[in-house]
Amino acid sequence: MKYIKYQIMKGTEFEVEKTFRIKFFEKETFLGYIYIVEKSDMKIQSIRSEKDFLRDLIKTPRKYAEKNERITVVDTFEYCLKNPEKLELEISEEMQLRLYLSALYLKEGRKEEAVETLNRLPENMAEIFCVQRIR
Amino acid sequence: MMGIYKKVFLLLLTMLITGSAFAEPGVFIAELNFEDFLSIINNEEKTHIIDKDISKSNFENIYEINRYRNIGFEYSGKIFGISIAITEENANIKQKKTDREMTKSLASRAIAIPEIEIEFRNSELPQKLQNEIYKISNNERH
Repeated sequence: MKYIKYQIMKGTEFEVEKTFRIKFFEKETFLGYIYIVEKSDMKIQSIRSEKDFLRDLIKTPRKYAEKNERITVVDTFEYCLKNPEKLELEISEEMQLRLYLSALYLKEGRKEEAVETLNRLPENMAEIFCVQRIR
Repeated sequence: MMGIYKKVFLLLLTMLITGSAFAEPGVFIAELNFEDFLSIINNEEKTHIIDKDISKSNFENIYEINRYRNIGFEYSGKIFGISIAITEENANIKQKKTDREMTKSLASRAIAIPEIEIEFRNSELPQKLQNEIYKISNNERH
């Protein structure tokens, strides 16, 4: 899901005091609705941040990788790994993304990038995942 | 030289006759003509909600969610949220009912689009994650 779609579907919360008009229309080849509100009657309560959006996307990296085009998944994981502070990624989450990203690089035949990504994994990876599980 | 003037004159004459000299760039929402769409919005209204002077650019950013096309814009102190379903020729009652419910729900959310677009301008997300805008006028996805 892209950022704006995410916002339309479930990201943005708002309150409408009064609706000016709700109109249904239907013709041979289409149908739909129009909502009209006075600007002063609508208040945006919150818009979800990029961080929330991305964290929602990568909540289960495997599912995300299965449901989306590989190139999109690579872009997403790369962006997340470039901005771990912004996303407040835990080390275990970061490592998980690195593993998936290196596998995706391999599938794309980008061996050098796959090796480079794997090389950034710490030697005590097992310990990191153990700590995460105990928490 | 006279030949060129004659050709230009004939071209202008043809445009005047067909009305294309005054026609603005073709902007369509779904399979719907812009003027028709305005008349749908104004239909049965005592005073027009939208005048013909509205900029067509308001209707250009169409956000596609599944197969529903959504538009949101601000005009004359009001916020408009529109959702359209293209109905298939042999659509049954159940499908139409679903479309009706979905477009109602999406149109009620589409009124947030103008604010979302403002927020979106500051986004640093990679292109793939930003958005998919469906421009009917040139049938391109962005």
